[in-house]
Amino acid sequence: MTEVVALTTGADADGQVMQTAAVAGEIICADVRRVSVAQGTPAGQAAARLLRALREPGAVLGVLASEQPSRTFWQRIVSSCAKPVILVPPAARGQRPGIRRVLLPLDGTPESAAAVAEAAGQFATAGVDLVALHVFNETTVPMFWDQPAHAHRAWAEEFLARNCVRPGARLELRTGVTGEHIVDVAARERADMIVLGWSRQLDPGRARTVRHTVLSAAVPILLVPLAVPEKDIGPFDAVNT
Amino acid sequence: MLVVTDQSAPGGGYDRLLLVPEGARATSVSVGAAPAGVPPGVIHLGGGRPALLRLMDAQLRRRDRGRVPAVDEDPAWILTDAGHDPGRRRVDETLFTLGSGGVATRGSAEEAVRGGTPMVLAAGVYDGTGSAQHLLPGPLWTGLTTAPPAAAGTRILDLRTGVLARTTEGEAGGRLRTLRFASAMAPGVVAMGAEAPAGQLRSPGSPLQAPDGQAGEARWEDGRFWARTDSGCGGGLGALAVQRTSRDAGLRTVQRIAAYVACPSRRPEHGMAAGALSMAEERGFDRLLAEHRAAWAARWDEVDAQIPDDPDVQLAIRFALFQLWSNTAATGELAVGARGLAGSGYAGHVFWDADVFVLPALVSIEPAAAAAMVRYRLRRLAAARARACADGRRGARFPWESAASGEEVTPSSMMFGGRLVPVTTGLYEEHVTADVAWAAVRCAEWTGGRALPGLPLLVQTARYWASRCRLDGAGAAHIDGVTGPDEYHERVDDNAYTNVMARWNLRAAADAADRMPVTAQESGRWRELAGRIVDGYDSATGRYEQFAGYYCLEPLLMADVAAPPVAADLLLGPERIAASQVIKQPDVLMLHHMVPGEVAPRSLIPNLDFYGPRTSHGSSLSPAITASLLARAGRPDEALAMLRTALAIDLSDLTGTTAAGLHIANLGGVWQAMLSGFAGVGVQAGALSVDPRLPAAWGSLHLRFRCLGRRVRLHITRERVEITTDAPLLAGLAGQEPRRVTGHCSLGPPGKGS
Repeated sequence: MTEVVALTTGADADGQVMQTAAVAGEIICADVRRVSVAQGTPAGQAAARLLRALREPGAVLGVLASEQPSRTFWQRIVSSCAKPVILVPPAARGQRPGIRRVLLPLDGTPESAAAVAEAAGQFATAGVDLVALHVFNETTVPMFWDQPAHAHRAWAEEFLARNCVRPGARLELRTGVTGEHIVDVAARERADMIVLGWSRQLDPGRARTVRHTVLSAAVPILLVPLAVPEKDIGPFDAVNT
Repeated sequence: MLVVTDQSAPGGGYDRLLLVPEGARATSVSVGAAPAGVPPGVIHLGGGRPALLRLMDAQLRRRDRGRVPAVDEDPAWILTDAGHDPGRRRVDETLFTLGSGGVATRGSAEEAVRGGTPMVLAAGVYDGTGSAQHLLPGPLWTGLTTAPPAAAGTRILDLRTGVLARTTEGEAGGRLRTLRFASAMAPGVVAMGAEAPAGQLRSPGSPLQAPDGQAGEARWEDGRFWARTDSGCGGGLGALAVQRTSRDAGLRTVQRIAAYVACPSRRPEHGMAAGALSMAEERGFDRLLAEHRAAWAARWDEVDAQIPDDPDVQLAIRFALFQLWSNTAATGELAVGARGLAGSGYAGHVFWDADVFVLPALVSIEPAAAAAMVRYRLRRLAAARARACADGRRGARFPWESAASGEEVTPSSMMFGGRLVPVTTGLYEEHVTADVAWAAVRCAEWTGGRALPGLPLLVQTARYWASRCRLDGAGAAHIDGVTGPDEYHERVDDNAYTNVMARWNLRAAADAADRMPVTAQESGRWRELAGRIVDGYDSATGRYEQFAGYYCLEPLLMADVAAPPVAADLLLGPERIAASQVIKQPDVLMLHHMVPGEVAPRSLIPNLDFYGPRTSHGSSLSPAITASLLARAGRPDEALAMLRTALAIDLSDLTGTTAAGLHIANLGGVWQAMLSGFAGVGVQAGALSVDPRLPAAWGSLHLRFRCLGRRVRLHITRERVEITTDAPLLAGLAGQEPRRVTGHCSLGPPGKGS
């Protein structure tokens, strides 16, 4: 039996957490298991209970509010947990139920594509629209961009073929700072969830994209750990995720 | 190659004479007694003459049963795909494209694989309308069904013989092996042989499959299979195929031959392919293959680059030549799309890439194909005249992007960054009109005939520029509101490239006026106007200002942005890039490459020094021509570094879009860099001049090419330049009076720059 483990803390966010867990459970055909801690429970104890539940063999996904029971609680969980976790930010409260469209920010590395491939497949199977996002920066910008309209089409087709082989998936391209664009594009596209592959490294200077997205997004964020050893994490991950 | 001997011995024997280095990869078998053993690499079979006969019988049986021949894995001629990287699958499909007669097939695996994009395309056969016009995919002919699926394996593109071979991993006798080719001898005819264990290679069904969702027809008729895809424009792409299956021990073999017929404007019929298929069928697979190999051998005998000190560059240049041949045709009219016929990218639209980058290469490779490119433009002259008329001009204005009819098919906008971005190249990139005229003249100069088939192009384009120029109060002529090759700066006034090319166009037309229905008064006006066109040249600095006001822009250098090549417009955004001096590709410097006689003497280096640090090379057209310019500027080592970048664009998929087709203009550019850049070959007034600049890493360079109706070979070393021609030719080193050369002779020591 597979389970989605949802953490409730007796706070206002509990309703949205349970709603998100239920929707995710439907998509991946899993039951929802609620792990409740009383308000005022020390963060360490709450984290231990949730991580214990997530370590159970049947647990495949965690769901928690990004600011409960403390503003940095989520960091403790996601950096210690090898399983995907959905963070529900405060701004997601009152979000329409269901997931019709998800945003998949992809840096173009095989690792990030592999990290979100399973989730993308499950969303696609459930009929959810997939919008991939790639942000050009100094390390990822193509060398050549001939006629813009044709180059865009050719580049996008190949990017999707390598990174997101799902029927109907489309690609949005931006230039600049990844984290800022993720939140902006998610809002413009009316995405109901953001799916991010990440390196599980929260050291200073790392995971800027994840931090920025968690702090700024108005929709739940699914964080999927990259299956790469620390030494193999590329420059994009080190700088942006 | 099979070498059979009967007197082999480790150190001697008569047959040692057969074991020459050139045959090192041949299979050598000794049927003699060989009491002292056989030389290394020779298989001792023994058995004397009866064994020899059995061996030959076995070879005949292999052919009779349709076994797949092997290829010579000479590293100087092959590209290999080990098949282990699924991300490269579509890239290799592009690189392994085979074509002849203007019909090309992507190098996809025979069985359906995830992410594979098998495709057959024909030059000039479009579907759709307006900017959505694209090349029509034709029936597929390489499909096979294998169960269980074929294991991973190796594919080899043999450039020397023009075949694509595949061998999957596994025990001998348990592998899938295929070999296919697009006949260089019979254009439009394709053939494939396959063998695999009978239980794995399922009985092949129809030899042709329609691409998904494409309208058309398919049927068996008189033992042959006919399939056609239909274009909404009234044309189509049809193929008629036969196949033969056989068995050899536990193997099933398949031999398939198809003849394609492509019609841009009417539906091809079964009968139109019947003759070609009958001829091919009568020859049979093995003879077709032998003739095909001989045709490729003849091609390489006429056109090739040999760089003994640089086998990587040599192989990459051969790849460029191979694909220039494979993606073009030497008859009728030839529309060369920006990605050739190797993929659907750029929709097969024809840009200035064809006229300025492909044609000048092709005219030295396959002159008839270059002439066919000129015919493509000539037959669209009426559309170009209509465009000029619609713009309120005279003459002819060619479209920035062209397809079936010659009308403008440039998309007018695109989505980027979440907003609708206008695409203005179709409105303002007018220099293509002069480029078309230049290509026609270039073709005539290099082929050396008295006739200039592109003469009407020259007249009508000159008339366009004559009506396009604006005279100011002082009598100077200006061309306002255009975009030059540097597309980072749109709609500028007096773009040096456009103005100088227009000037060249007017003068070239005036020079040819006695052969055209043009009055002396009109040609006189052209010449007079040409002299009034401003070009931004400053004799104090030796530089041309790229356009009016360019020097006032932010003096940003690429060193402050990112390491080239890089798409700087994506990085900085269109507004910032337009406000800066960073440029996409050579603009002023294209003049030094194309019309050196129209620019000020000794102005190459000051312009190279100024614009080089400002060039992002964000266009795939940029590195090859820059390599040529650097070589001409006496910087061959820098040129070689730039050439290596150009050669890697497709072979290393530098920009992640080779899956959509070859950067065919770059392939033309690298051959231009070899010929015009490093060898310094030029043609003027019916004479060939040579002015080599060899990089330090190259001790010698041997080039074979077509020029002035001759087959020319140059052997360039630091000491001397030798030439061989198959007929008398006026030739000489640059700066010397050309002389009549015949056969083989030395032109003398190269200039001090080499």
